[in-house]
Amino acid sequence: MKSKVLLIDDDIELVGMFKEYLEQEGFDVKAVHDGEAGTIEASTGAYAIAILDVMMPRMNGLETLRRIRTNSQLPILMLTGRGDDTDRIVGLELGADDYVAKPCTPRELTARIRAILRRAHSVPADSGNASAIVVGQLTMWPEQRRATWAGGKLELTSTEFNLLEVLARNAGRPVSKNTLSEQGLGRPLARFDRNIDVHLSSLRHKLGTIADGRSCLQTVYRLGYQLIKE
Amino acid sequence: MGRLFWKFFVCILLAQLAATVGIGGAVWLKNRNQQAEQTDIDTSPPAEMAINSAAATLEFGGANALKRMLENMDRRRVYAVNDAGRELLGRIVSDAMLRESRALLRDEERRRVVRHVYDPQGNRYLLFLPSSERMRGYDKERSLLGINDRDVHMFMNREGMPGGQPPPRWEQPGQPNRTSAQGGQMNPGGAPGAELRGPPGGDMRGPMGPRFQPLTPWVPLVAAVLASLLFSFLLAWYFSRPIQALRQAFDAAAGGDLSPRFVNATGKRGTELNDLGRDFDRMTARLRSLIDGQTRLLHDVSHELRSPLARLQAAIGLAHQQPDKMAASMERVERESVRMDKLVGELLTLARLEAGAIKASQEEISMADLIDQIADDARFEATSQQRSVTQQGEADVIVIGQTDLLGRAIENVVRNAIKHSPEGGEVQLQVQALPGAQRLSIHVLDRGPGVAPADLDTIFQPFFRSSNASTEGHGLGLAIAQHVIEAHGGFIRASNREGGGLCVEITLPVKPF
Repeated sequence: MKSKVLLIDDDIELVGMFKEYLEQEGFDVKAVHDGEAGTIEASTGAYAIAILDVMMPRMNGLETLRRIRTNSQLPILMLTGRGDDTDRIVGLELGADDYVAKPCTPRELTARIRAILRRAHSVPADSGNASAIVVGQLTMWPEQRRATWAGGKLELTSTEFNLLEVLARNAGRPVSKNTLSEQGLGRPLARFDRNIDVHLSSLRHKLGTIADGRSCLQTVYRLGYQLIKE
Repeated sequence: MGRLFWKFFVCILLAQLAATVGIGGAVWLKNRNQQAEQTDIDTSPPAEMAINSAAATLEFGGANALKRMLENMDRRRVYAVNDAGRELLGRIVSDAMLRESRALLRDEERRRVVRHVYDPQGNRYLLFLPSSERMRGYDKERSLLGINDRDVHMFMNREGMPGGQPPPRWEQPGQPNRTSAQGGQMNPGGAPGAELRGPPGGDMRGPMGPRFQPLTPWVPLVAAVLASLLFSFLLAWYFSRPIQALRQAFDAAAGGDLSPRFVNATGKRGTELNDLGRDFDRMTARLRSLIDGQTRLLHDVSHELRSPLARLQAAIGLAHQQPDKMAASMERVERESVRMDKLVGELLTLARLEAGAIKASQEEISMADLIDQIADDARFEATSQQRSVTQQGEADVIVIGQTDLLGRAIENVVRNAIKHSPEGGEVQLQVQALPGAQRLSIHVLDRGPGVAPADLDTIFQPFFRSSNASTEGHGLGLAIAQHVIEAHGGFIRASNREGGGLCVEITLPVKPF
């Protein structure tokens, strides 16, 4: 089955070329040229991933992202201007799964799409017995891509889910950012990459605190992050 | 309190000191001169009268008659000195005074106040009246300045004790203060005879001396020093504070902080230092807007360059993926590179215009020819897009400027109108010479969607694109047009037409015939 990709970008010519390239790579691509149409398309639930340009006239990419996230956990890949760190961090905080700096080669774009899709659909081999991972108040069912905190359902984006799963499997031990990037994002850690930090910051807001009032996600200096095992 | 403050402080203090020393010195010199004059011979008319009467007495009554008369007088007791240098009453006479009187004697004009008189025995006497004698009379009214005291002491120092009249005990040289402090009666008139003769007359000023003596020199001195320090401090602070504030402002500006700093500065308008602060604020505001503009432009440029680059990379990716479609991909790559070249060219034009390059070479432009040419080109371009261009009016005038730039400016406006016209729409190019005002007016009218009223000025800013514009163009055309028209001394403005569409009006000054 072909993965359906939603392309949201105002540059018609560029979108045309990306569409041609991705279709050749085996994706089913639908292109729209403004944020409003993109929001409507995304809410249909027919897509496996959306690619969203941040710089768009009228409704810009970040606003589009916020609207999509209100009712959908659809994996989203942002296209940001190179050097626009603010856009990038705001986008990740709003729940984008990853970003690609524009201008980018179509090959790089394809690789990122594949990485996100692989993570979203990955079924870990060692959890075939359908057992849940339980760490303190956190319970995760990776097969169902479902997680709860103290019985309440957690609304996690797919990247957040992947990162939390990696941490939960290694609960009580620090996990390096490199490992998190490779296992959670599906790519090696780049220099000056704030991606992991932003995702973990928003995870921290979604998860509760442990008995002594601290966050259950702790930064371990020079080692990475650790999910506290009580 | 920086170094500047202390510099001001020390300078003002020194200036005050110099002024004090100068004025004090002048006063002291004047005083000294007055004192010197007071040792002089009295030349006033009363003195003359006294001399005359003394002369008559001596001449006809003899030395004893004069002696008797003088002893009975209170004021203006004429001195009578014989050739041996002895005064008739035994009063002390300094050599200097004698010399001075003799000098006056030789002086024809003043002969009458110093005279040589012979008594009946044939002895010659020199008659004169020292100024100190005149003072004697109102010693009581005069304050404690003690002007004449010194004369007396000097007198005695030089002359020693004249025979016959022992000097008063308390007037020993070198002890004037002690006598005064004792509250002893002291007559500065230098006339021991008077003291010996009558009851002490100067008692009433005696007690005042000791009360003032210990305080007088210090109180005013300390007060003056304190006042001087205080005023130096205040003045130095007054001058150095705004300069210090300015210095900090400059430091901050050098460090990149261009926020206004003197908006809230209190103080009257018109003070130079306050004006300086305001000028500084104006300067930083201008700098800030320039820097903001440049930053925005740079940001826009990088974004605008990014789009064709992204398309280039996508086209190259496609070429790699599908080598069989190489020709189509190459065409795309070519198109994008041409587009980028055009963008860079327009940016350079804009930058040159902003740098004021238009003044470099100027020529006479025949506007009729130029507009005909533009209209022809536009008509050709519009026809291929199912739109039309009509030209109205004639303008056979000359404008001074650069042909290529002015042509491009008008062309940009016309092309913009064609681009925004609906299919089958008509663009009107109206030309009208305003002979009275020596101006040429060009209207470019279209029936496109128009512009939101709030954006009517913004459309001339670089990279402005109305939200419904296609990807064609970079939003630089109208910005370039505005720069060119303004550099030619004209102006350009946009308004929405009644019934829909945009009207761009260009007004240019023409060369007078």
